[in-house]
Amino acid sequence: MTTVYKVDSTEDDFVTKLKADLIESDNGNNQDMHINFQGYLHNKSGFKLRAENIEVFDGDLISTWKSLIENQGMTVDITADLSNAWVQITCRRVTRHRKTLRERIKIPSFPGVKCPRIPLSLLFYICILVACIIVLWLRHKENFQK
Amino acid sequence: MAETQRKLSKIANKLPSSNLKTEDLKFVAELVQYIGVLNARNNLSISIHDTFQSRYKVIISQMPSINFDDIRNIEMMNKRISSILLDLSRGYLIVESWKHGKEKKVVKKKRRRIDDEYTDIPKNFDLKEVEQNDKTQVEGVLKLFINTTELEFSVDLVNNLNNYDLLLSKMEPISIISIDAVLTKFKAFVTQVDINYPQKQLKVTVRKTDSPLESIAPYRRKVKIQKKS
Repeated sequence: MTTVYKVDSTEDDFVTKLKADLIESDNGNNQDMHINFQGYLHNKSGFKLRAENIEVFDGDLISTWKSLIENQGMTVDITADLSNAWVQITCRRVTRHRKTLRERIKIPSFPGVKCPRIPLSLLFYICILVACIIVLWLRHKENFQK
Repeated sequence: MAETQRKLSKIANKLPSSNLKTEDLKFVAELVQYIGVLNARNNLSISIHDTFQSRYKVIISQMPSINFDDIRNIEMMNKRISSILLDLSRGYLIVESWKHGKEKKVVKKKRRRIDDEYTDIPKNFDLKEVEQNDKTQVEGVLKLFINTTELEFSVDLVNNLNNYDLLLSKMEPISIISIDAVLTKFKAFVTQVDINYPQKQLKVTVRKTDSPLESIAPYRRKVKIQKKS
């Protein structure tokens, strides 16, 4: 049997500090609340925490937690599971998405005007065709002039 | 027949107290009986959550090892089942069902959109043991499991003569719909899915490309080739 991948379930310093900050931000409304580290997301793109033993869970607490996590450069999803009485906090690292060439040179849209998409591949083939014609012209220029 | 009915009513009397109707209780009793019969295990721990108006949950702990055919049998016992979750880390089988007369008629299927996030296999997955011919299906199976879960899970691989055993452990609770999606997409390669509760593992057997098909499907129809006149 070979191990393809082994889960690393130890929380790093960042997670430990964030957990402490989240508990502290509650201002003692939930005395028995504790936050468990559930694990890292795939590709270490974030992690999941679960807050248990919550008595008071209001909009202020959600917004405080959200701002606290977003200030650390992460996006957050907070899901309350009322049947199991816990709150799931999913933190994701903000990753930069590289834009495609088509997205970068997007034609601005005007209301009422339907703009076609830029046929990039067609333009590329036309460029190659023009280049070939120029090269052929340069090579056989003398023959044509005679 | 009468014997079965007596057994079921005996089991229903032993179930934890709930406000479920007779039809729903009958299903729970059947479910408990079916799982109890598997591996001759009778000391199952059952809890019923029926606080909501329309749905109820049956959580069975101390589960024995089962395979995906057992899950399909459970699904067939009751048409009102809305979801079946496998919580391997806690050893739970969670069956959620609509209450009798409260079932929802239209079920919308969630389709993957083009702009949905699609996670690729992490680079630190060591698949050197897998032969080049079989990489597509093994990677495909793993990719589907990765995309249906959010948290990382451990993967071990056993290289057998005709197949690979993928042992997935430390998984977050997974719905059977996800496993069904894997089986549907790779039905030619995934031969067996075993849910090993005692070892907290999900065992997925993936057939090797060059393995004989006869061993997997022994009762195949003979192909008749006819010449067109």
